[in-house]
Amino acid sequence: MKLLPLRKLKGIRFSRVSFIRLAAILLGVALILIGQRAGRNEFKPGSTKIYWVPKANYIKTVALEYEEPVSDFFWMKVTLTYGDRNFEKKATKKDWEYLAKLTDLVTDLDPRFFIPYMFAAAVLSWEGEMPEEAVRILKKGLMARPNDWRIPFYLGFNYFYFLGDSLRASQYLARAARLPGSPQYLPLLAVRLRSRAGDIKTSIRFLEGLLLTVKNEKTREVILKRLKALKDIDYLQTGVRRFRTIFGRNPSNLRELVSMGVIDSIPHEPYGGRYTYDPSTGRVWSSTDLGKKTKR
Amino acid sequence: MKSVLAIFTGTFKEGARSRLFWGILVFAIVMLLSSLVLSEFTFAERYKIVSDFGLSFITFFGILVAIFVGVELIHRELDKRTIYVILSKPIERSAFVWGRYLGLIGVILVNFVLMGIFLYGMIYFYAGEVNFLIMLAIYGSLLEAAMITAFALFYSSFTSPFVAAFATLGTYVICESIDIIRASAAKQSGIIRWTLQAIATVFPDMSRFNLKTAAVYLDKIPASNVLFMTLYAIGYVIVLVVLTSFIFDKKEFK
Repeated sequence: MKLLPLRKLKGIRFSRVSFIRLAAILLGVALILIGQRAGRNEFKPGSTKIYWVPKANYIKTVALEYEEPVSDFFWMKVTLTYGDRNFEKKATKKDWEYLAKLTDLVTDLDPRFFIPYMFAAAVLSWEGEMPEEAVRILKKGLMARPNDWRIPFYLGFNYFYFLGDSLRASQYLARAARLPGSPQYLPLLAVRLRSRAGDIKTSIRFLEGLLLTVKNEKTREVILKRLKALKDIDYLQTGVRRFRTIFGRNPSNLRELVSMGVIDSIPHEPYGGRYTYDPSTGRVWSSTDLGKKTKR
Repeated sequence: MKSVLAIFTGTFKEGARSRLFWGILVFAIVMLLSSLVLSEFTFAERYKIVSDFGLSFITFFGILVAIFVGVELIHRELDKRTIYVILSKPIERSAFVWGRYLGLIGVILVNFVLMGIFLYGMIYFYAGEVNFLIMLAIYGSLLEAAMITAFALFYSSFTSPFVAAFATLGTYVICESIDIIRASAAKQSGIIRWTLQAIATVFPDMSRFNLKTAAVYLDKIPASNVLFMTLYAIGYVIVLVVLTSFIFDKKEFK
């Protein structure tokens, strides 16, 4: 094959009009390609994502007076990533860390924006299993929203439920109870935490309170599931106690509670396991340790 | 005074006929509408998102109109040589500059009022309630745009339109970053420190005019703040327009 000599190529002239047409066609093709790419832009874990999150200080310098919409933009990144139907199934630890970093950034840029705090408390600590990170973010909200009882309430919950620090939890709850609009049960819950830490009824009360403040469906489901398991355990344990007062001994297994007519039936464990029982101590628990022993 | 009025009406009509003005306005309204779509991507607090984006778009496009329409109108005058016709009349040059400035402000005011009404309606239909504070925030942005217009007029009096537009844009960035400039001045020493401090002193601190956050979070805005803002802006505008007239006075039109 012979290449065309250069001087022959020179004969072809590109007029300005044809150049503009060519540019328009190329632009059109590019747009169609981008559109198709965006159409199948579903969440994939790891490699396809850029995990880089800019520093709040840099953004504050370049955003001029537009800090709020910029922070809203990063917040939308959080909701779009988390909201993807594939996220829950495929998210890796790194994906969750990315969401935590973004939430941290949003609360740095606009510390009075409430929803990111709720996200930290209800999603990052529950589903992302990052309660320490959530606590760190929530503490910013304590300063920025001093009159919002929900922030110390979330902090109290995180300390109690995930970090196992009932003393600090009760301090935060007491603080929340002093703020306007806080629910009536808070002072009682704070006192209870101090005296009977780790008690199942306290957890149930706490979770019910949390549920009232959370609007996101996905998170509500997670909390409702946990709530059901805890209520079941409480129900079974009450049954065991009643058995003991009637028969003077612990039942040998949970089925005996049903056969002796103390309870109607053994409830279904919502995490796909079953409820376990130790006849020597009379303690009821779940075989999946409330879902913690399943995947992840 | 009569001549100021004549120049004012002329400038205003010309500005209202400017394609650039309407282009930016239409684009601004499209962007305002887009904030409704954007707010769908958050869990809640849509009121905040719509107001955040809406107020920021109004400010941003208001500033754009101030810079580009301001620079364009002055230079079109020179290009078409209509300025010679006007200046051959018994009109004082300072009256010409004031008339120009006020005409531009008229155009910008129309721009802000149209965008403001649109945003108000949008928030009302979307969130069911709308706050007076939103109006105050728009007023703050209007004052910013008024100052930026004065800068655009000032730069246009002695440079080319391209340079003037860029200088005005740069001025806007500086005016929004006075606190950062002050902070970095404190870290420097010698001539750099002195220069930075001079910049921070000469240019107005426009972060004082930003009431957007306060409006969205329903903070109390004291009346004294609003009064201070207004006087601060008027002061700067007077100084700049007087400076511009001074340069215009010395200028020879060939």
